[in-house]
Amino acid sequence: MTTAQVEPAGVQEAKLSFHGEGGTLFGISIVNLLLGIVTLGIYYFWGKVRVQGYLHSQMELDGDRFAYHGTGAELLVGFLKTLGLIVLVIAGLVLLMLPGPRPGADVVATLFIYAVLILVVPVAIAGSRRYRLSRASWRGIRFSFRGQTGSFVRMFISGALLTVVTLGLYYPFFYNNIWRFLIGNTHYGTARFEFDGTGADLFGRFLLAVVLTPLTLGVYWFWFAAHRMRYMWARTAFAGARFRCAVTGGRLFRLTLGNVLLLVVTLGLALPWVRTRNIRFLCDALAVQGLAGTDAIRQEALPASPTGEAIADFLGIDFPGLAPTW
Amino acid sequence: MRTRLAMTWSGVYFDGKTALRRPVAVSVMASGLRLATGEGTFLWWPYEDLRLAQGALPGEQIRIERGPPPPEALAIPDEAFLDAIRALAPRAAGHLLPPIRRRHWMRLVLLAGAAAVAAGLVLYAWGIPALAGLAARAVPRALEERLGQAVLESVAPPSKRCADPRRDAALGEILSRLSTADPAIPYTFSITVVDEPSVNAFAAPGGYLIIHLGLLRKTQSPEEMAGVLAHEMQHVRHRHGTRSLFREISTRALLGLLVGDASGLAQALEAARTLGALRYRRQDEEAADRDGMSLLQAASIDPGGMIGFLRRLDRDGVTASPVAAYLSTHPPTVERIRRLEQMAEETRYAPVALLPGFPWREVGFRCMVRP
Repeated sequence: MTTAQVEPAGVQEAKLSFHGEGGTLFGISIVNLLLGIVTLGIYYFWGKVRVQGYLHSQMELDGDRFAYHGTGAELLVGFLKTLGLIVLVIAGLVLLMLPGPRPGADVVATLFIYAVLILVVPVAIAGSRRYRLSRASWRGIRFSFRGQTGSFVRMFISGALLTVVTLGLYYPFFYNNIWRFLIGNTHYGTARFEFDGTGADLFGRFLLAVVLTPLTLGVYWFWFAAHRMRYMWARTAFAGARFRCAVTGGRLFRLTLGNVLLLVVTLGLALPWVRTRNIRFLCDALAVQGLAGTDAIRQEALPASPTGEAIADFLGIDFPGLAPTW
Repeated sequence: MRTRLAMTWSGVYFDGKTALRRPVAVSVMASGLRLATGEGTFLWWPYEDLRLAQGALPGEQIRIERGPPPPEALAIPDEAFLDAIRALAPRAAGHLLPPIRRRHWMRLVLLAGAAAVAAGLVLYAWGIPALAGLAARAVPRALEERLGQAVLESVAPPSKRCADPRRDAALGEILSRLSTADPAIPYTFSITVVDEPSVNAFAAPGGYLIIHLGLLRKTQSPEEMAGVLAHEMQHVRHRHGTRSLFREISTRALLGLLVGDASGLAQALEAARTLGALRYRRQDEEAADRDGMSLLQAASIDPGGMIGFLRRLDRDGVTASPVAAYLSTHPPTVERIRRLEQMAEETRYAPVALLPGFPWREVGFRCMVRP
């Protein structure tokens, strides 16, 4: 563990910063909305690329900006493929129900839908991460995600079931396993991200949160979430560099409260400001130590299908792209 | 003079092979960019090989890429760099410059937006109803019954239904008299009574008739009830409910499409499942009145019941609010009554009494048994 009280001389700390403005993002969103109406929704995919491109380009690490390389056309293709899949599933359901009221037909249909959903959620999470990372770069080097979707699905389903069976006690382990998989299979060029956290480390705090959260009307959860964020980042490393996250429960609470107020007062119009606030919050809290070793990292870009991203879009899943936030 | 033109800009060069950052001094020349790496070496970037990957929006860092993916890249923090290119190589580097005709674009976007809204309205007013009508006619009856069951489940969940053996037998009697009068109606009808005080009745697709207890209490004879049932049966026969469901689904899907929300489709399906009120068009109501009256006549039921019931609703509707629910979903009552009276006068016959001897007014219509 990096519990050095005195920072060793010579270890440089690189700051992460975000330069995006809510106003600019709002302008982009409005233009996207107008063009979306004009093109009967087709522009949605290009608009999404525009937003991602803006957000990435405003993020800076050690003096250099991130970049986004996705295209609207590939997202449209992914959407059409997913639509085809959904039509097939619905057609299957209709065929199942068509013979008329059979005892248990509703139960079978409901089970079928849940089975599809529990399969599709991990597929969407892994797929959208694979796509988003493959389209992101820093210093000209692409990120990539190399975890096997099949093993993620198995891990996700068994973890979800265990969490239910243990009445939630397994949750910290489940959460830890998810991020071990998602971070541990993330690459930046030839360098792999490493994650050595354990669910056991989080377990005590989690129990405390379970007790204190209802007593404090939910407020304590922010302190738990901040602790978890600090822990996850402290246990993440790549190419000899380590992360340091300075999030505190109080700041996280103020951020969330501010976001909720903004959204309520503006009836949701402030969403672009909320997004930039969230990203700026994370960037301001994060620092990377020992980045010098990254110079030797070589390019190793991998192809990734946009279909996973489209499935996630259908489900309304917007999983954090590069790293855990909450 | 030469030195004044040869401005240099500081940038960072990435070769696309390693993560090494190389600060460079960039000179804007007539046919390309010259990148000085500081170790006495230069890179020559002819304009025709370059593309602007970022920097078209104000406040964005300029990023120029070269070559197939993964490309080499040049990042320049100063936005004024593009102005220098515009000044020094407007022709050769034209494709690198973001369009300045912003205002022209804006007008085009607004115009196209107005056109799209107009197209959407046309689609909403005529396109969707026409399509929904086509689709409703093509749906197999088995699927219609499934739809109807789903509507029944949401409008009349089992906890709100109420049974009363004597009353249900009487309603069944009226129903069978009506359905045997016109064997051409290809539906099997069922009646579900809901414990609601409002005066209302619906027809879900596939033959599921739903009647609120409030309406039942308002009737004073079996003939009046027969009028309501005949009207609702015609909604089923003409597939008005199925069509209105389709209309609702496609309208929501269209709205979802307009705001670019793919999940709108899923919401539309969900809404269709839980859709409570079935809304009919005015023509649908007129058709149901007209054919309902014909059905009464074919069954030799006194048409005075249907007309009398409407008249009483009209009279009470001004003061009693539960009645408003039924009237609000139907065309102006005065006009309906006038049209029905005209039909009744055109065809005169000796009515055969419904449920002779049955003490309709004394039944009281309560929830006897909760299933």
